[in-house]
Amino acid sequence: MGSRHSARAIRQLALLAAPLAAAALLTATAPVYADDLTPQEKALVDAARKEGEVTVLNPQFSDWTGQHLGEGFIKRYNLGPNFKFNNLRKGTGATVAQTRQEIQAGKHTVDILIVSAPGFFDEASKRGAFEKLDSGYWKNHAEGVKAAGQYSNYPYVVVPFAYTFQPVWNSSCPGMEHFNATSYADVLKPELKGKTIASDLTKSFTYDNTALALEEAGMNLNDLWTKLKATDPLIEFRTEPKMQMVVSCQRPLDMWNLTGRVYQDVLKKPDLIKVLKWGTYKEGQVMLGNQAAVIKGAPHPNAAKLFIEYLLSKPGTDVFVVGEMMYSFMKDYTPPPEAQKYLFDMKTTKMIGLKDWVASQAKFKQLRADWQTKFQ
Amino acid sequence: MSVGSAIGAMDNKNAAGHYVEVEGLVKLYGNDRAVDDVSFSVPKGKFLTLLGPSGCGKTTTLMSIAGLHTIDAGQIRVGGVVYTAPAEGLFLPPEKRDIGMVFQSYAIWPHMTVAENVAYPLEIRKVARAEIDARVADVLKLVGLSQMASKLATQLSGGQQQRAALARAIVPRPRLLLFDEPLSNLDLKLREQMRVELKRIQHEVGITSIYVTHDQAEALVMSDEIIVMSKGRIEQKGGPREIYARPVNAYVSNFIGVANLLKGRVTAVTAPGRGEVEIAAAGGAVQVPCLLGKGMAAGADAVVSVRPENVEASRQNGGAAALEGEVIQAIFLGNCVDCRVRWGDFEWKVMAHPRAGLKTGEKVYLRLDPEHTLAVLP
Amino acid sequence: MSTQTLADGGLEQQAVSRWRSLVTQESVATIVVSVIVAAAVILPLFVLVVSSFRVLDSGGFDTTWGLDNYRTLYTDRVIPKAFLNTLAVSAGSTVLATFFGVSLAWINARTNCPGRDRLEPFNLIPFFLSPFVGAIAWHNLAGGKTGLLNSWARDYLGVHGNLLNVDNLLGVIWVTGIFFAPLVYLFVVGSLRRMDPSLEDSARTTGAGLLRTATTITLPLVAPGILSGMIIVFVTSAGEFGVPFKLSAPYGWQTLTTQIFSKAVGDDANLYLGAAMSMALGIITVLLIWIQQAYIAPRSFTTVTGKGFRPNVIDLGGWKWLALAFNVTFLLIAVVLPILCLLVVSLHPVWQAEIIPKDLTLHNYVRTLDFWAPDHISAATNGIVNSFILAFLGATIAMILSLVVSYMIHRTKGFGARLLDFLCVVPVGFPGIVLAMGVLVTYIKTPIYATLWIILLGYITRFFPYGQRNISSVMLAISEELDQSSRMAGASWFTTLRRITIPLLKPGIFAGWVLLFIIFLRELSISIILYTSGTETLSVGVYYLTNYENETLTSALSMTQTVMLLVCVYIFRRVAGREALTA
Repeated sequence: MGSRHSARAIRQLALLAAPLAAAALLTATAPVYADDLTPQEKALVDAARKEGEVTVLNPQFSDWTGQHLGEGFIKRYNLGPNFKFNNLRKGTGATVAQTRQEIQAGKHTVDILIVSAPGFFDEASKRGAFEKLDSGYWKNHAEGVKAAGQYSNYPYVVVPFAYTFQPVWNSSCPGMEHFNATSYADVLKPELKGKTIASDLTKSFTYDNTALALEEAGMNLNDLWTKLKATDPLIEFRTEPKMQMVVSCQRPLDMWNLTGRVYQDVLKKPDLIKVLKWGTYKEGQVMLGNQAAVIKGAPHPNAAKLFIEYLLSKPGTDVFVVGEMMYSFMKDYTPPPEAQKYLFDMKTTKMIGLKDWVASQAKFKQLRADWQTKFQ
Repeated sequence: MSVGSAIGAMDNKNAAGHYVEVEGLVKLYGNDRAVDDVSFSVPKGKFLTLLGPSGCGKTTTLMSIAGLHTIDAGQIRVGGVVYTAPAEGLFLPPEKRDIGMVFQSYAIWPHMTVAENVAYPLEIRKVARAEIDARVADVLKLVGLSQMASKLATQLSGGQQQRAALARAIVPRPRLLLFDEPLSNLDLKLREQMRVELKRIQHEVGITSIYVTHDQAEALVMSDEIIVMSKGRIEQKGGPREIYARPVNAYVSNFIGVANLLKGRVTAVTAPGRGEVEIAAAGGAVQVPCLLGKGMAAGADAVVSVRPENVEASRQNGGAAALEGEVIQAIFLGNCVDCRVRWGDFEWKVMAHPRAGLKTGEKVYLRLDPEHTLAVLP
Repeated sequence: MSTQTLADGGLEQQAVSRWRSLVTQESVATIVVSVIVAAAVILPLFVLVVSSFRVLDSGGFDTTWGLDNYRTLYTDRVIPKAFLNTLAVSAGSTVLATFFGVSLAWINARTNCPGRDRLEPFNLIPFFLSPFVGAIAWHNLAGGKTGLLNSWARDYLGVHGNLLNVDNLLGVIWVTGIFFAPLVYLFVVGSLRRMDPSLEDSARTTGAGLLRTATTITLPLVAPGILSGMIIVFVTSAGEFGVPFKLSAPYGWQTLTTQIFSKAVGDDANLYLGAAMSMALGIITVLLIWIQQAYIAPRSFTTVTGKGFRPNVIDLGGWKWLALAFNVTFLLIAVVLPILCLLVVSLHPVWQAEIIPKDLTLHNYVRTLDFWAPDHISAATNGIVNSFILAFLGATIAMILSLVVSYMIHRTKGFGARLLDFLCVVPVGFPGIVLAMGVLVTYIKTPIYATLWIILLGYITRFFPYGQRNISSVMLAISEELDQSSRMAGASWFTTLRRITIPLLKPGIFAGWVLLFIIFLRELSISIILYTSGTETLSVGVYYLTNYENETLTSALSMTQTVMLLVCVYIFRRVAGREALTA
């Protein structure tokens, strides 16, 4: 009897243990990544790990954002401690110029390009310069991107995020204590003479596109420039120096700056949050979507495609939203708490774009010439 | 056996007779013939001087032998080995020519001591260290610089640098020594001293030497043979006495020593190499007996060359060949009196004996020593 | 080929054929170097010339042959103005630099200004610092509302508005003029010191007074030196990028260099138009440099006798204190003030135009220097390491190149030597940005693209003439016979180079190496075109910070760079001695 009992016990034990053991074996050998990966992601992970590296060329990501994106990316897909994530940050023009040069030379050191330059992306995809993407997450963004009037070109070009120019001012500067801006009329008042900044349209497409979108939405640009000129603005195009002018009270109001910049400065000196303020324009916030694509012939195509997926996924989006205070068109997306303060509610704010970003490029020359006659 | 001859004796080169042979050397700079068909040879162990003013081609010739210049035509052979022969496409680089060279600026390397300078050629030849030290010491003793072995070049005087340069050139026992006006940067006294020194050392060591200078006194003191050059060509080859006493033309005559030179015409040939020549001045023409140089036939135009020491001045009229003149200058030099005597429109240079007591303004009669009156090519 | 072996003297001898005599060590080395120099210098410039005739279409990818780029040079809204601005800046800087350079040189070499010997090395410091950093410092000192001096003037002197404003063309002239004053100073002070006093003495004995002698004798004799300095400053100012980029371009005053930069990597990137602009600028600057080298520089040696003697010193009497004050003021303005400003700004988290003691922190230095700090900025930390590597490697390779090139120019005769001499002038005439564009387009398809090596190539190509000039000046003083006697002693060409020529050239080699090291450490225009992530240099780091971060971080890295450069200058002077600094 003892042996029969023990034999049965052993059989029962074995029956119980087997699936457990099998489960244990499975989990031990299977790659450990977050189990909410899409099949598209899963298909890319192994190849990405083997490639061991990815380089992202963009004007946007600061060191903090780049670092955290890299860490998050490696962790999410378990790419290993030796995987290298390179964040190459250059100006908008330099980013496009370098990519164009590399495409023409057939020599690629950059895997992914992320920049707001619809004209370039359009031209390049026509030439077959981009890899075809198979994205599991894009469908979550496509609708929002379209509704906001942004340029995209799936399966070659996606839009992971956008930024927009808002009025920013320093309320601790003389005369600015009670200032508030909810409309363009507010930032062009004559009593603001000597306190304003005019962003140089000839230096960045983002200002040109913002102006053209406003015009398309019904604003009279001539009128805008005239009123702005009357406030004797200081001309500058780089966002950070403009922010510094605001912080130092040299020019306490910048009508077109980024809350992301405000955030960076508050990080450096926390007291600034008490005095730096911003608003939204009721005429509409022009969303400047940043296009992203993987270059054909890039040295690490799979890692690149995987990174695009990461950017379009919630965990990835959370990183750059907190880092740069930018906007994602993901459906039902709620920004993390630390970012919510700096971001307006996309559901209730009027967001505008351009009907045809590519065609509007042809208008740049005239637009810039007009602006130059007024300001230079 | 002295140090010098020991060095020389170890030389086992066996070519006798002509050791350095230069044939038909031509060097062009653009259209300028710097060296124009120069040929000569130097016997083993002898001292040859190339003498002439700057631009005569002597340095170019020397540099060509050294291999520091290429040539356009001709051949250079040393010890039977062809060094340069452009027609056959042969050119031996200078570092392979086994030639010791002393430069005008001494070219002592300032970042090395004297001993290191002198040891350099031996180091290049990969001689053993112990032997290097011994040979350097020997050669420094030979040139009298043993005391200065550990001094830097910048601490040496000009004369000492000169000796060091010589030591460096000799120490590897080269087959040929070349000197490029080595004494011209020294002051007079030192130069006179070094001339003799150099000659002594060269003789002791017995290395064939070619020496370039524009100083005729140097050439006369040091050489076994002299080649006088002008405008890229050889004017005359010969031993010092021969060059001095028997210049072949006016140029050589004027270059070596001091000479009275007048235009003249050969009037008669009395014996091989002897004859009579007519010289003229505003006062009249005189026929004097003379030695005839090459190419002098009756009726030929010639230049008459008489050295001042061969002109006798006396207060008595010596005869038909006497020239009457007036002393216009008499400078007492100690061992002689440097006189200038006006004869017609010509001024004779006369070396007179102090005891003759010639004074300015005196009337004198000049007599030319027929054995030392030369009629040569103009 | 006849072969006769003789066992004497230890040398084996062969009469070698003329063909083999061509393939000597000397000729192989010189041919290799000529090819390298030609490839490095001519190729990028050739590519630039060709590019300038290709016109970009609106799509931004395709080009056609045409002259439109050159037409755009005068029809564009901005380019002709930029050209005029460049002329204005160059002319203004030249005037300012000459004023300071000549007066300081005269005070130092010819008067009894007290302490002038101690002051001399400091007068040269601005030359070794980065003008870009100087512009950053001056922006924080006197740039409109955020300028420290302006803020003090408002607070303590009751001045309304801004006392000074350097954020314009005048600011560019100010900074450029001060930083290049040492160039004129060096030319003139050398000329004044080497002048034979008997030339002036003889004038004085004829009855000419001090002033008359100075204007009719001294001045004409140093005129070639002054003129040389002026041309060099003019050309260098025309090619200067960092200062207008910081002080004038953002506010609407473009120069040719900032425009070329924008055409290279700006929003309206069109490197073909940039190439055409480069041609326009380059031809003018190369011409000027060539005139200076060929006609003016040789004349400046007419007073050099080689003998060292004390030239006439003028007793200024009571005015000598004024001279001292003038010199000290220059040093304060050019060196002390900007450095202090950098320090002050760098210790604040954000810059608000006043010193806030409770805010002072060293955190900016941590972020820019500490590679392991969690919030470090990689462009900055990479920059330090990369710049050191590039400076060290670059200076070494460039000096080797310079050595052989100098040897070829001064020891060989013929057309090749003269061509090489001219080729050495060309890189100096072209602005760094221009050359870098050429290098980029030429080598983009090669493996060196996007690595440190392409930046190294750019540096060496642009700056090796500086090294070559240092060596040449020493080589000219070394008699050829020193080399020849080594050959006669049996040493091959290479052994002669190694044992004789190079040891004698040591002072020139060392001076050239340090000069190049310093130049590479602070270089901006070339690095900015050729860098990528991981290959940033110090100046690129500063540029990055000034674009994407704020003035305080920028000042911190600038301060670091300045300290590094000063340390180099100090070490150099200690090791090489007083006479060693020549440009």
